[in-house]
Amino acid sequence: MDRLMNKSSEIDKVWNEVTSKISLTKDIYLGTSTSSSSTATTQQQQYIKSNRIVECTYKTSPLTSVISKVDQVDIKELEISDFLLHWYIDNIKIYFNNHLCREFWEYFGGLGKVDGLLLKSTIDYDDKYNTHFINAIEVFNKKKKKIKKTIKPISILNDDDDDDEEEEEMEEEEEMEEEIEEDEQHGDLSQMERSQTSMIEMSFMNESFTDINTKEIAFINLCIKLNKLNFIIISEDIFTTILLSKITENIEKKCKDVFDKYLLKSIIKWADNIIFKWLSIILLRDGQDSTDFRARGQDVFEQWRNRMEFSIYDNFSQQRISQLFDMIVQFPDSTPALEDLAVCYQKIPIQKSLIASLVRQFKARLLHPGANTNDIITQFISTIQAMKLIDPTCFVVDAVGHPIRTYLSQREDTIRSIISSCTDEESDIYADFCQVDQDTDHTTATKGDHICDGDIDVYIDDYADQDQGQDQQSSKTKKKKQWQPATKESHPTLQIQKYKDTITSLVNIYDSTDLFVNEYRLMLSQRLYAMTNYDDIDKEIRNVELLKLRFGEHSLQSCEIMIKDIQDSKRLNQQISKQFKQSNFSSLILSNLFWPTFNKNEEFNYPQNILDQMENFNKEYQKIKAPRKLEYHKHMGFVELDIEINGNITTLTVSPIHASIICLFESKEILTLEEISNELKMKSDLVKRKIIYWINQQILIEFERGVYKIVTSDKDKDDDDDQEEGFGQTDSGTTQAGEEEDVDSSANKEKEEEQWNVVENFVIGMLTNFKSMPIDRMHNMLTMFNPDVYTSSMTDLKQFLTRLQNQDKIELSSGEYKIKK
Amino acid sequence: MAQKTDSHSVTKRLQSELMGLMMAGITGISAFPNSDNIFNWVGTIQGASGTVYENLEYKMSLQFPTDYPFKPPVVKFETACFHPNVDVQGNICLDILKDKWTPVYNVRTLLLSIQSLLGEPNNESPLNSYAASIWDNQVEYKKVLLKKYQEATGRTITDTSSTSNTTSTPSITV
Repeated sequence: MDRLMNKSSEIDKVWNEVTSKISLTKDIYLGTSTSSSSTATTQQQQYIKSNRIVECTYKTSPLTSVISKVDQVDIKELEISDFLLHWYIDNIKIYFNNHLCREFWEYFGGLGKVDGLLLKSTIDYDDKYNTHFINAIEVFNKKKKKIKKTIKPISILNDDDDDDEEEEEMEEEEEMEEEIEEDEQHGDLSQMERSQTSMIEMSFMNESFTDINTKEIAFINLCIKLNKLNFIIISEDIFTTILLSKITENIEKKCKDVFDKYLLKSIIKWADNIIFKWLSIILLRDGQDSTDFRARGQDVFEQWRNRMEFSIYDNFSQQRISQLFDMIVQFPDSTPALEDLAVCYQKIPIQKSLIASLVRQFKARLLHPGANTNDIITQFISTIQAMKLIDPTCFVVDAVGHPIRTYLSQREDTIRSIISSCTDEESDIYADFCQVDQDTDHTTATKGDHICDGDIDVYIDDYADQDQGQDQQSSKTKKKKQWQPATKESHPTLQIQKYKDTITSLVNIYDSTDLFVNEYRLMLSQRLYAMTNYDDIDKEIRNVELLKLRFGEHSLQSCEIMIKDIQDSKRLNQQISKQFKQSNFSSLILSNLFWPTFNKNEEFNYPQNILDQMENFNKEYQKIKAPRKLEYHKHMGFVELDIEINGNITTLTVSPIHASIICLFESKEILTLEEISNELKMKSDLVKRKIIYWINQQILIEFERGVYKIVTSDKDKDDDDDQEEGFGQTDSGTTQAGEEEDVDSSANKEKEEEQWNVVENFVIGMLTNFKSMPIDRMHNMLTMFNPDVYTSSMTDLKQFLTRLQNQDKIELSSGEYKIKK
Repeated sequence: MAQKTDSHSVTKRLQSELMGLMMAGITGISAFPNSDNIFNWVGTIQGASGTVYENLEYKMSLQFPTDYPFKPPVVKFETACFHPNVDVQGNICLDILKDKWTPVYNVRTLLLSIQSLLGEPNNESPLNSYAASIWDNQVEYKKVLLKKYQEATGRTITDTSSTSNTTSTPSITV
């Protein structure tokens, strides 16, 4: 650039030569450029000069001579055209900013009246369209080559927008002359155009021109003129970009966060009224005088229209897809939006972007540890239903649902959440759970088939149509050519089956239904234990029956037996208690094989009188059910207690272990920790933990360290209160938490111990079979074959192996472990 | 696809069998996947006490087919085993390894069956007719067995019961 600047004088010289040689009608160019020097910078002048040169090179027949002149002064043609381009671009930018964009939207804002907002928004258009313009210019830049070829027509335009009126006039004349040279008819038109242009210029500048009709005519004329100059076709990209940005903006404004209305139609209507109308005005009107032009305009119009239509669908669907996650959250309120998207899905290929975007959104917003499992499940269900609206073949459902399913299957509490929501009468899923089943009650198998049939029909129909069409053409080869291997999408049966209904899709998260059934069994057992009122059992029976319809009789056999156990126990209790007249003792008799295994808990004994009752019960049971006998799980169950202290009766439902402790205080008011633990044959630390419950209930107080006493008087109670108020407040808090924490840590400890027990067995097993092994191999094997239990590090394993060594179970020699014989 | 899930479920099954076997803690039988392939296991069987195989330890190889448990695993003795129903290659003639196999069997029951086969051979259909022929003479059998075992493992089994037996037998005959 600098070099060019330095050469300015030389260019002047060349310019003079050129102008004289080709004998231009007007020598005015140089004159104007110097006269405008007061306003324009020298660089602009330079541009203008170089502009002339190139213009001349295009105009003149002895091109070579000019180029050779240019070469002399060491300026490559390319460089000049580059400058030219910059200049054009700058000018076009200004032009658009000042006039076209603004007027364009102002015009349509007024004319269309569909979007009244547009008119108002023009107040701050300057900035807004500037940014659009940068986009436009970028596109323009890419098209440099094309522009280079068509420099001439554009040059007229850049004169249009030039501030210098004088120069404009000159240019117009120049243009006119050229036109005349080319085509005399057009020359007349261009004269007309000139006057029109100045009128438009005025209307652009003068805000008092509020009459929309005048503006309309002015604008239309401008458009026609532009088109005549071939400008619209050339700068198609710019127009497209502007139109697109307008479309995007409109879609964004209309659709953002609005999911409960059908908007696609109104957008298409808007496009018809505004975008296409404009297109038809500028592209179709100009050719009125010549059929050739008209045909061309028609072609171009159709082309643009199609592209714009596609862009509208594309933009719309992109907008929708970007908010798909929220739409799913609001499902089913967002059904209209989804149905709009479904229309797009049919029209344009958005499947891939839809899936990719949704999966990305899920990953970012749903599938992370912060999300509640229940929420994920709800979202998963909504996703399935929503995606089914878009794609009934369930291909999308499968693709989108897959990451969620994988994630859910990794969560520990998924099954539990699913089952609890299935059986929770208030949840939505419960309704599905019952309803679908009731539907399937009579036609379990046929229902599923129906769904599939319906959807497959669509496919078959499509295929049949194709067939027919091809038959008409009766070209078998064509048919063969058109054959394509069946894609995953063309076999929807599997997917549809998989997402037949909510429950099925939830159950399908897991590979087998066994896990599901097992978890249900576990939860059922817990509910049954806790059941005080046997009437509730009807509900459980109903649930089991519902589940049976889904998973088959066999898999729920144990659940049935569990329920039967409860019912049997009820009968048996009545029978036995009649005999003994002890109405306050009842037991649940559970079939060992069919109930989930119970956690082994701390050993302890009941107080003697209860033990006696249990013994009696057992004897009676053995009489009734001959070969069977009872094995009591003492820590299970619950006790209803009435505690009477000084005439105040407190009714509590507590665990047997708590009850056993308090029963001891029946006969004695003060007991030491040791006495309690001896009496109940339980560990003293367990007693200590459990007794905290009674202290918190204000029934016992720790009289001295390790000595407990019943709170008999209010005074004691008050003392206790005082204590709490004084310094015991935090203390009681910690003790209360203390029990839970202890339980937690002991549970953890147990779990860990169990884990190491498994590891020990594996280590012994490995060493039996492999004689000797180094630690890293053992670690690898354990990780590989026992991933569920073994989660320790090599260091932990090393420690553990050392422990085994100390127990003389294994030995270490030369880096390898062996079983010690 | 179907095959993939299948092999997955087989892996699952074998893993749970391994867990079961390890946790059962049955003395005398054991097995563990060899290297990183869960379809290929190494087994160990010790002769049951009270049989001639007492104190003898045999290594086995177990090859699980991909359609396990619908097909039985291929089980072979890796340590040469002198037994009427085991041939020189270590192949075992046992009905549950062939046509009597059902998916309810597992590694544990299989190894237990082989362990009991050691003590109670089926002499009706021997693979090793020599072993079958001398089975009735337990003293002779044990002598040959120990010799063969020593050849195979290089380990000498100094069996006190066998020496006492051999000494006591002549005294009876005398």
